[in-house]
Amino acid sequence: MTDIIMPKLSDTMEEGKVLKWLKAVGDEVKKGEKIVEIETDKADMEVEAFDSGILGKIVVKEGETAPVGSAIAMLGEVEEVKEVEEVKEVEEVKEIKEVKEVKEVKEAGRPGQVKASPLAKNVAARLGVDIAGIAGTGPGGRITKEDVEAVVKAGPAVGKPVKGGDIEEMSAMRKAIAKTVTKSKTEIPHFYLTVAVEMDKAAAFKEEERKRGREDVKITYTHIITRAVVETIKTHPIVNSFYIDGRIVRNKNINIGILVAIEGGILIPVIKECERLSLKQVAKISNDVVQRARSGRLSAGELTGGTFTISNVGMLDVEHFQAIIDPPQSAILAVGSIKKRPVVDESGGIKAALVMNMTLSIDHRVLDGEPAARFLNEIRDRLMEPEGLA
Amino acid sequence: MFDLTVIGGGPGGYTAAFKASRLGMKVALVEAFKIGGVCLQAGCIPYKALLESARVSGLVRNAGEFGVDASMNGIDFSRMMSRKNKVVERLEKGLAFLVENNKVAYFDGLASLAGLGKVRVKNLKNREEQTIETKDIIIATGSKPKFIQAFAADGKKILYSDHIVALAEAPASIAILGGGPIGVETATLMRALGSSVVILEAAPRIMINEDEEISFELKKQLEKKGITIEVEAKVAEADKKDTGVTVDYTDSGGDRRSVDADCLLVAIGREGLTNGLGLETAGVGTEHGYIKVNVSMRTTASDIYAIGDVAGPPLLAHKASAEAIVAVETIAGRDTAPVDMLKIPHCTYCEPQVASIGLTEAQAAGEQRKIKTGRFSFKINGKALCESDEIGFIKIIADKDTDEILGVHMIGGEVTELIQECAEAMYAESTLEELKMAVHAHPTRSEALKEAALDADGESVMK
Ligand SMILES: Cc1cc2nc3c(=O)[nH]c(=O)nc-3n(C[C@H](O)[C@H](O)[C@H](O)COP(=O)(O)OP(=O)(O)OC[C@H]3O[C@@H](n4cnc5c(N)ncnc54)[C@H](O)[C@@H]3O)c2cc1C
Repeated sequence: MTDIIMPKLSDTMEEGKVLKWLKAVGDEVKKGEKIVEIETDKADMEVEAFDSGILGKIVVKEGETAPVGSAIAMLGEVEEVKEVEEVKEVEEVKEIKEVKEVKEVKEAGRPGQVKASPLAKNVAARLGVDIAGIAGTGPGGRITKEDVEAVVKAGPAVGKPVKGGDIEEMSAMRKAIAKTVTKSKTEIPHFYLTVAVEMDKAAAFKEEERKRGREDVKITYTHIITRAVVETIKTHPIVNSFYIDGRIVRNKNINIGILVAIEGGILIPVIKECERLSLKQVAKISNDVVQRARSGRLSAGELTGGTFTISNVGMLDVEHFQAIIDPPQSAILAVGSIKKRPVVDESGGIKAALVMNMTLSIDHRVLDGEPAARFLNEIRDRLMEPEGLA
Repeated sequence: MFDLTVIGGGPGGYTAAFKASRLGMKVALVEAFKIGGVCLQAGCIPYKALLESARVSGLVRNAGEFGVDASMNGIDFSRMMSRKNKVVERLEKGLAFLVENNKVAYFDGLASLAGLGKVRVKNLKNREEQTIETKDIIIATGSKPKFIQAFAADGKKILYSDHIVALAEAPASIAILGGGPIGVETATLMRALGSSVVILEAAPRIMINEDEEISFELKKQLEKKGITIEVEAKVAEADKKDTGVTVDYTDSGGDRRSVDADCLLVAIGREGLTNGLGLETAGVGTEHGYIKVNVSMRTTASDIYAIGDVAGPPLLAHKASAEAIVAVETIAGRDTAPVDMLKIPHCTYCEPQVASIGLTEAQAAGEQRKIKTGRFSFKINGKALCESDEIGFIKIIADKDTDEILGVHMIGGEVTELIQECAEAMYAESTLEELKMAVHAHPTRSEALKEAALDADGESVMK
């Protein structure tokens, strides 16, 4: 009997919710076959079986949540299935014991233990309240049951609705976004550089490439910008690294995340190993993952492993904006709309040109202003002379 | 000018006075009768002192079972009474000493409110009057037996509990109106003295505030002693005769019946001692016969507080003194926590004793929560068997989800001491788990409490 565990489907995933079991107990399961639908903080995904066998027992029922790495079902040989019930009992006892031991060790080893009555702790655990943040009113400042209940009753300290409003739970995805951007903005010292790029040549290049390419590969500005970024990273590899605990982790591959707005949130599908891809290959992969991101059919692997991110909201008619870095990456490029704007030409006259603003957000711990500016300028130069990006 | 004037010298009043003095206030204490209040003069202490004589007589009666040769020649009523008086006197002296030691100004007289920051004191012996000026006032005047014209006490044929503690001899027979704590304690005492005893209770069971199982077990045990108990008995009137009193009532079946006895004890409840205080003019509101207070014991008039029996049920001495601390700390501007009425132990010194705290099973079940109950009998408790006193049991009610201890109910020997563990556990918000896991000494009756807690989770290894 082998456990089917809750897979880690994204970098930030800590737990997943079983939406639907695609197999029933007793069903035969083949390796690679989809067996369960899981809701994660990023998206709903279908999970495949790693082994073949008979689905012996479902541990986590539909609608229930389980932490990453915990058993959600058991897969067995045909004969094993009969024994499942007995096995379960023994294992449950073991599990309870293990959990208890961990709890004891934790409590004993905690120096600044929270002063709370045993009952308050029980009630807090039941209501899902973090007891550490509660002010105690009991003897000696102890947290009492009433204190816990008062916190729950009062609701969140800030953001109580004004009269007539109400409170709504955030989706798992929104919570994940909230967590990520908060972590980024509180931990990463961002700075920002903006340049204007004349895009007339890039526009012409795009049309040419489109004509040259097969009908089914539609090339967009995002693809051309991606190519420009990838080529520039090759000469500024530091931008492609992670900052982790005071150390720079240099990445070999250039994996570009493309920010996609979907209903109720955003997804960042990642195009892996861009250093090896032509413009057409980038376009093909990009079009595919973006489309599947919108229809919610991405695999976990396609949402992880990015080393640099591009956020293009040009289609929304935004002049320029500053994006928040997706940790542990060091930079993100924010691309505004491409529009005809007046430009002074070499002879001092005014001409109309297609102009696009792009803003680079950089982690100052990794890169200073001067090299960052050179990196950004080089991207601009490549976009203005796009021939080499094919 | 006093910082605080306390009206009434019972457990509420004297605790308030001593505490306030310790906090540096200049305190006046006014008492119309004797220090100690009902508790010391006519309630808790004299009753318990007398009931101890009853308990010892029971031991002597059973001495043979222990291999002790002794013969029971009855209780000498006057010696019993003088022992009780000695106990009361000693405690009274102790209190007088504390009054002095705490530099509390003691006023002997009847107090009434006399305008903002003023208390009038009228000495009942020399009729002299004086007015005390004070910043704050605490009313702790206690309670008195509920007055019903048909059963108005005369101190001879119709009695209140105050008369019981002052009897000159034991009545040959007594009818008791009311099967509450005072009723069953008096019944226990009188039966031990050899009186024939009938309890007439209007409710479907005696000790109506206790858990049902306790009521039924107590009724059974009292009946075994030869006490007659009529529940659902509607008493219409008491006819005083030369030889005693005839009490007419309708029994549970609707039949009209009567009991003849030497005397009738009326123990149908008490009411706050509120009249004559000038509450209305002072703006002190009342409700259901008691002074209305908030959780800080403040009345509807600012700077006037009320504590103890006069501030409402439960009518218990330790509730009065707990409220005294809250009131005084509030006056002193200190942080204080209100008294949680659900965490007050209730002890009744009948035989077998009854003790409880928190919700009864019916009350707990009535709340929207899932409960679990555990029971353990003294029949399988080593200490109880050593004492040849195996009557009774412990019942514990807990919340199924949080293990919160909701109520504990006990009947049997020494349970009035045993309940204190539960009071502390509940105060500290310990859960069933702590009762289960704390090591209880062997052999003690407290082991039965631990086993009852274990039994609530089906884990008692002794059952
Ligand atoms: C028979 C009996 C047995 C009891 N047994 C128990 C028991 O076992 N355990 C328990 O906890 N409780 C017991 N009680 C209840 C307990 O006695 C009361 O709850 C307790 O005495 C209340 O205290 P108190 O300070 O509020 O009032 P009291 O003790 O009633 O004291 C009030 C005092 O105020 C004085 N006073 C009243 N009006 C004035 C005024 N205008 N001016 C000046 N002085 C005034 C009175 O003379 C009295 O001394 C028993 C009661 C009775 C009757």
